[in-house]
Amino acid sequence: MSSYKLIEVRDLVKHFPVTSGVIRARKIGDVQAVDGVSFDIAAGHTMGLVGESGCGKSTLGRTLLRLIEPTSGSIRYEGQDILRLSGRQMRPLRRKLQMIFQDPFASLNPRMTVARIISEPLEVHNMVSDAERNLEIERLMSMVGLDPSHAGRYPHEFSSGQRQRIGIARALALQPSFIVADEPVSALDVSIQAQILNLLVDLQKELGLAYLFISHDLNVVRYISHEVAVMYLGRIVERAPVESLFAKPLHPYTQALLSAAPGFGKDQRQGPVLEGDLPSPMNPPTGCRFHQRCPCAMGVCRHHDPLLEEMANGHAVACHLWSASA
Amino acid sequence: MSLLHINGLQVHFQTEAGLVRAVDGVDLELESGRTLGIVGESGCGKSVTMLSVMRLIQPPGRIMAGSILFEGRDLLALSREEMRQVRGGGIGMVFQDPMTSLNPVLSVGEQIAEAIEIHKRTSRRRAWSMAVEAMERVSIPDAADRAGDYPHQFSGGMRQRIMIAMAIACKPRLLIADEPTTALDVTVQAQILNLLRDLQAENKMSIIVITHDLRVAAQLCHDLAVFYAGRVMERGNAEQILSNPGHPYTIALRNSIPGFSSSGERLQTIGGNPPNLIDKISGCVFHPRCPTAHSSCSDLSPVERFVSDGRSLACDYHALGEM
Repeated sequence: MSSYKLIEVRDLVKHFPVTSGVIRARKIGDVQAVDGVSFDIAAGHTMGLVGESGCGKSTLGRTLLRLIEPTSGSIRYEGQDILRLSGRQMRPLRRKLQMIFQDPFASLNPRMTVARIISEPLEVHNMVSDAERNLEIERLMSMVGLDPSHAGRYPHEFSSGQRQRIGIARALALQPSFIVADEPVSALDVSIQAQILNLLVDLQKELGLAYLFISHDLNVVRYISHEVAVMYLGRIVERAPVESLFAKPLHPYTQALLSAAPGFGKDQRQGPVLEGDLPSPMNPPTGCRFHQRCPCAMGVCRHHDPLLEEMANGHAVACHLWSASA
Repeated sequence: MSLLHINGLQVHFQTEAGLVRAVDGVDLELESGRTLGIVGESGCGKSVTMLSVMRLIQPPGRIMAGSILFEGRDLLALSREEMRQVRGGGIGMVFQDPMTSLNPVLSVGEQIAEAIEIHKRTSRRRAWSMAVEAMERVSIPDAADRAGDYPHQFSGGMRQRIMIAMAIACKPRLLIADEPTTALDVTVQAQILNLLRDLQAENKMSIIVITHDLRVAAQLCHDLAVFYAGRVMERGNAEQILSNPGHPYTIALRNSIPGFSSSGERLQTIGGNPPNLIDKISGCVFHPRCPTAHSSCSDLSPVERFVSDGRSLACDYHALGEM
């Protein structure tokens, strides 16, 4: 498996303006959904992205594919800054960057047969001739574990797990090298969840795909990821290889998140239960964004925003407890 | 005497596609002061069973057979007026989605007080102060001030606390919580699980938690009932079932959860899809997906049998220790 940097993200920012007033809209602030995020994803690897709802993880995923235009920053795909490309220049790249959605009910057109759902991207990009099309649909359906004889059926005739397979086949149709999977198993029952996770791992090995795997489920992320980034209020607060993150979480937020996830035994929870809720991303706290809920907050945390600093072996954390300058 | 005793419950839904046997002969028992977890995948009948306890099954659904004894009285034989006293009085219920189960145009205090007025026949003023007390018991800060706020002014976790406050306002002996933490983030989920545990310790209340998440069940429950296709596959002590599951379905369910088997290992899956409850499956309902099915499993429906203290299995072949 090659491991050159496929995706390089630097200082990515996405602010959504918030307006007020009916006749003349005035801007009253910004929702700082993604606020200065940098990371790399190696070819054939999976970056897991975890965080609570509203932390900006889905916005980040969509911004990477330019489904949302970022406010500033850069996204390089194989060294090329895709944010500088025009729509026309972007089109051949769109093939390489695909997405799998959370809800297998809402993300498939109910009036299209499976064959049309899968072949539509092929037609848009002129990937196959009419003669080859049916063969290609068959190949894709068998690849994701669907019966090719069901190509003429409509989405409602499939179970939720099978529908998620259709969504995966559609994403694979264009032979992408990078897939953003936004909560791809959250809507599925556990026994089906395991089937889809295994499928994603198999496809990665077979096709050398890189994933950005967005999930709120730490156990799922731990299973599928090579590297994990933890997001809080638009920032990455910790990023590390998966074993290192779960064995030795450094950021107090990551520690709280790990101890909050229920394990199998009773009361084996260590560490404090976090108080309160996620603050509004419209006016995030000054200093460290986590300081109001942080059990280890110090004076410096209230005023100074910690930077994401590399500790050892690719383990990076944004916390004054670990920063040399504090 | 057990607090709740469900015997041979059958609930059917007559749909255009055919008869759906959502609950097909369920037996359950809950002692007072204990927490029972009902686990299973979607469509296994866990919510329908609990809605039957509240007698909230709407047409085309119908309770076809069985009895539900609560404190010795058969709930299915009560008049509508008597049942109203049980709902919210003796048994409180918390629903999954705190966004849709609160009325958006009434303040939360009014919504909690409404239930108290009906059940305790008190004045508005008294009901309001009891509502504030209930909000304090679920640790909502500044409860007296916030009782006048509307649901949209609260976060998801706070809304779920309000739902719980409403359910416990009349001090029920049994609290039924249907997926109480599914819509919440993990850190908030941990807060709500702690709250349920504290409330139980304070009030000696029994709790039934419906969940698809085995880990949540492991955290909270003394006893466990594993549902599949409208039947109970295995029930007994939660810790014992999770550490040494007996039924092939429980084993498969546990092994398909990431993090249970050591990381890096391939997840074990249950082949096939959950059954469509319209087609009647002959023999054991799990046999088409069972990795260890014998030839007779497709003919004979297994009878629930007790294998050790309080532990029962609906499988003819597997017994504990044979794994």
